[in-house]
Amino acid sequence: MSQVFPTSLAVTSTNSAFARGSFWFGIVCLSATFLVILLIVPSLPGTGAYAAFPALLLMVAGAVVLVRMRRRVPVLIGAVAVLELLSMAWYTHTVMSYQEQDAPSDNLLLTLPVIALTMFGVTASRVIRGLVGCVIAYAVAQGIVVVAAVGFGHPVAFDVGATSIFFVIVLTLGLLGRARRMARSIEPQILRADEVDSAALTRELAESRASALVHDTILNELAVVATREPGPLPKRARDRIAASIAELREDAPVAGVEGRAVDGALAAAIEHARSSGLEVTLAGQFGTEVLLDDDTATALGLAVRQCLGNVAAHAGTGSAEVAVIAADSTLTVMVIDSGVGFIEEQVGRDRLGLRNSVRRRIEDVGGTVQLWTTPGVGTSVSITVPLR
Amino acid sequence: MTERTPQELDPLGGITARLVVIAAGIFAVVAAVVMSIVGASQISSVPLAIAAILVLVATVVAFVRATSAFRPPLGLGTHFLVFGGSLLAVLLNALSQWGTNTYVRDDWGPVAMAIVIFSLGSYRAWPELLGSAVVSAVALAALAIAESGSLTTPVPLGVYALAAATPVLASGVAAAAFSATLVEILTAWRAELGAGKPTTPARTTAVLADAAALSHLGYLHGEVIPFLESIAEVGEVGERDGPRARALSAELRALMVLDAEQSWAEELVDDLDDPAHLAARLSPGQRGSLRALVAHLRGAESGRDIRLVLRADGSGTLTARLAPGSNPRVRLAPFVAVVRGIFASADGDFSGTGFTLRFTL
Repeated sequence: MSQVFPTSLAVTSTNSAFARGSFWFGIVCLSATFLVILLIVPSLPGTGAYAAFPALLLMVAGAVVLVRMRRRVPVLIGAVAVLELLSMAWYTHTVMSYQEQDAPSDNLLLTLPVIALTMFGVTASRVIRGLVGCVIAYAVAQGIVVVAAVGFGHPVAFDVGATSIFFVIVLTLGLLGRARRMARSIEPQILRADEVDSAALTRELAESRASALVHDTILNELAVVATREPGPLPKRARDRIAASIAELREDAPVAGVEGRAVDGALAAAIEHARSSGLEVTLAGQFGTEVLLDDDTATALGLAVRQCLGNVAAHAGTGSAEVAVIAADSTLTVMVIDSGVGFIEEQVGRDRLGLRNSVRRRIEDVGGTVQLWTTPGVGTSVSITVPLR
Repeated sequence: MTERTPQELDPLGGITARLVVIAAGIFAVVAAVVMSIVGASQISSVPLAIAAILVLVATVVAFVRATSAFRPPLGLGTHFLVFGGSLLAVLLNALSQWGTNTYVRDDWGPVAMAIVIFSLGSYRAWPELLGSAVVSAVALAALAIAESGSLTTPVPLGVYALAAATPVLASGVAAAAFSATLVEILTAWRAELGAGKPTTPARTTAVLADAAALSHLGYLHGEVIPFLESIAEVGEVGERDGPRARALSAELRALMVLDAEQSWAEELVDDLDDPAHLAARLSPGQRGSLRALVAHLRGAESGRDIRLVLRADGSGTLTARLAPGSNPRVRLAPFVAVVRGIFASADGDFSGTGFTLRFTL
């Protein structure tokens, strides 16, 4: 699974973030306009300038509709555009009616709403593709101010602030697409690498499972053949060889493990050990009704079988104890012997039983293995697996 | 808990935004120069006016450098450097016009600062952006009130303060909203990614067949099983079967050990130095990002002698020799950014034709 944010999502999420940022930019500008009017009204004749407030509020209301719009609704977008521009015309007319005749068209009270409407145009770009909303909003808002300035006889001035902001927005939106194409061109390569890695991981897991099974079955059969005197092979030994080969070829669960109840998972392992002559005593919650996944039950049964096989082959004692402890979400099985014990660090690299057939097998199904061993005292292996 | 940044959650987004940082930085400097020339009559100290522009240039350069994909994610230090540097430029600009500034709206300081800080939204978390913007706006408002003695527009002092503070406050609030929205979307995407991740890969017949052909299992099916089958079929152990079983057992066990100890990284690079078997502890995302980088180095960059060193302390180094004369920085940047987004830390370095990537798990 890719760790790279997909380009398709990057485009929509950047647009959403940009729309939200532009909305707040405009809101701050309109709030500042509101405060400026509050500050200067006391110095103006009458209180008619307060009529600009409803126009500002309508601009905010239109922007709120735009930023909350989840999908393109052309009629609603058109209605908001008309509302914004009529509000701007109303606002401009009100402000200019009260401003001194020599106030230029780029004064703070006019430039801030122009910037706000330009930013609301960017907010609309979330539902209107590209820069269309931004360009129309800037051009029309600026046009309203210029026409009103001419009508009222105010000096028309080039609005450096609003135009700079407009160009920065156009530049940013234009560059974002190009930069995104450049930076995200590697997405297919990352996806391909993830696929390769996933396949390698699956292969590794399959190898380790197969390896554990080979260790449990085929190496044992080879050892039987290697240590026998030449002569006829008893039927029981022949059947075991045939069963081991069948088990390996089918990659099947161990016979007798039904893969659900604890007793089923362990029964075959214990039976296998007893048939090899090991005395196995049981302790703990053997009758408990707990459920395991098929893979977990199979892995647990095979791991316990390997632990008991280790006791028979290396512990120098003819007996072992298997204890079961069930908790809310885990099941722990302990295989305990009071044999010769060993020092884990001194176990040869070629001894794969504990490493592959127990530890790795259990870790592959999300479990853990702990080992306590003291030379001359014995060994305890604790296997914990998650319940279904 | 510290708020995560858009760049940390989507390193490729950081590269995308870098072009905007460069363009906005150039625009801010050009605006400062042009507005200084246009308003030259209001400047009382040319050295201070030049110093203001130089500080702005230095701030932009530091900002652009910090957004490089080969450097660590843009940290809080750089965040404060960008805000602090911009504020210093605004202060020097104001001092250069002290007593002679007649009109606050044609000062480039607040506009340039607003342009620069907006692009921080792709790199830092919203609380820092909002906090810094509010503090900066208050400072700019105070500065405008302080120099109001020479301003000629007949309005209350509060209007000067609003004229100076609004661009920076609006830009900072916008950057914070941009950052918060992106982080919200990216966090949700990551959560979905984590929830959908399978705990173990699927086991398929094709994969098992593949594994059988490539590992000790090939030997098992070719040599060992036919031998055991013949014994089971005949029902007798012959004179030579004992030694043969011992030889097959030894060979099979040796192959199993080799398979068990083989690392995915060994197949990936020309030379692997991983005494602590750290490669096995890398996450799927970490392995995938390194695989993509190495594939790119081998392919597009004609890289050779690719070496991976993993140390027990969790640090790693990937080195490669690239074809002389190639200029791989831009092409490699997205790969390094992805590695950086997945590992705890990572940075890339070029020396001559050598490329080095250092990372920590």
